[in-house]
Amino acid sequence: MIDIQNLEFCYGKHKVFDNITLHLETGKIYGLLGENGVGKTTLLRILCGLLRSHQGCCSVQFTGQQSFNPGDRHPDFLSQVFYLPELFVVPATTAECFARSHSQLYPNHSWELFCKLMNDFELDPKCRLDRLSHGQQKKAMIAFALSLRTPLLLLDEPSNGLDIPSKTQFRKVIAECATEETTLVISTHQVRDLENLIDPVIILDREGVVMNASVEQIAEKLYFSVENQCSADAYFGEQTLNGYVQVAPNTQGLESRVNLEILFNAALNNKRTFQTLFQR
Amino acid sequence: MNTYFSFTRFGRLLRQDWQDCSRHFWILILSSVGAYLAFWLFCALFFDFSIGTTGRSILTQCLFSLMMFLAPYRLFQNVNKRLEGYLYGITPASVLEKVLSMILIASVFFGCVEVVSIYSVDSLLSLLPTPYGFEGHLWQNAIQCETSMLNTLMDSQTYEFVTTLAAPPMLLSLMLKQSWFIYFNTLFRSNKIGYTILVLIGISIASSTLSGLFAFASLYAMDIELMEGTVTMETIFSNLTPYIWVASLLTYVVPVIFWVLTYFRIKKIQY
Repeated sequence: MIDIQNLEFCYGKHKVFDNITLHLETGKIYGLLGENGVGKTTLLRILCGLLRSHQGCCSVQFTGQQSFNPGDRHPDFLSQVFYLPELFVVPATTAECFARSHSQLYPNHSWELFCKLMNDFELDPKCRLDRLSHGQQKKAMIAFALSLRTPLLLLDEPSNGLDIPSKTQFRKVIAECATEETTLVISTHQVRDLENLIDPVIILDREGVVMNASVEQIAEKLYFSVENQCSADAYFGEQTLNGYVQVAPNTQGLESRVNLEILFNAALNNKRTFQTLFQR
Repeated sequence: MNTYFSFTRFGRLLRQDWQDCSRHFWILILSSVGAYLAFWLFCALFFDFSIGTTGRSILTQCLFSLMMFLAPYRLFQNVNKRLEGYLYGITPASVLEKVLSMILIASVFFGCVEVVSIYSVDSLLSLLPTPYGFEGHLWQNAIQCETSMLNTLMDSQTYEFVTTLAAPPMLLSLMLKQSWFIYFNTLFRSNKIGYTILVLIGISIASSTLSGLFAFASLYAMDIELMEGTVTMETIFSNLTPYIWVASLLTYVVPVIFWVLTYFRIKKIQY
């Protein structure tokens, strides 16, 4: 669905991407992880056409349609993709007016779904967006984004600013709205908020893609455990009150639950190993 | 064709743009009406004579020019901003549709509503039975061409045509001049009005220097003929005609250039 080949991008002299290659499939919820400044937001902005890559190729193909280059900002492409940034400025209007006005050019928009999601987030569609708190504004925008039912939805730090019940609600609505035709790319630092939601996981660093693998593949190749002592072969271990939470090679084919935070730290400490381990 | 223009999509975009900027649109209109009412009040209270159509038409011209200058910066202030304008950037419409919608709202709708509002208020005020205030109506100014000194001097049909070309009807003239501001609004990301004024000052200095040099050259040639006593009215006009043609060309061609530049600017904006 999304094919990125040898992508290069820089802001002036600062190079963000140097020869990135990535493939994303339809019907999945991708988690985009990476340290600050590695280019997660830039990648999302390139994918929706807000930024143009300087070198390389980025193409998006929706089911049964021609392939689009996001940088061309073709109206047919833009009507099938929506991007919700981490920071945004809402207009001085009601959520209802905003949704009615901005959904006109999206053919799959569902007004009923918007009202339902607003209700799920305990928000009144008649409330003025600019008078809401940042968390409430975010929930309203998430409701709007999901109600557009675009085949490609890009969310940048969607759980930032949400309270604990809203994070639970967010996971619930995402799980409800994700279909086999929808691809979601969620960039986040709050991995614990989305641990049971994202699959596959993409980890970026300053040199490129460290890994792009499904949770099943990760669990097959890595073993996550809590031990009294950190194993010598562990990729990464963190001391907690319960002992060492660690990730090690899964040589015995044991089953374990993927801990995204430990995985992320392990991947950053063992870039080459992880790149080889999860090479396609 | 659907890639570049679709009537359905354009209609929806126009509706969306209108809903986004209608608040600022009416604030601008109301503030100009308010300023005009304040002027009338000032005249009615402090002057001991009524203001005729000539004085008021100069004032309304200034007011329209100011409002047409401000309109793109208020109505479409966020279109090129990274944070506030991202929704505009991903709006599913072609660049052509976005530019046309911008021109239609900021130039045509705003221009017409502004002129109609001010002239309506002016007519109502001039009908008020106050001892002093306004006298006469301004409506004919909206469609009348700006007459120049040459027009009044000359009988020749050709010259009249040329000068009419150089001075289009007031409303059209306002719309054409606004193309500059529409472009500068999309070009500058911050301090838009300040940078525009700086650019306009720069352009004025450059153009006045150039036109001064050309005028000096042609007047120098005429001066010799004047000294020889061979100069006629025809000679003066034939010397001025090229300048009028250039002025006409600039009046109509420059806005088109700015609209095209706006198209490419919107196409290339990176958010």
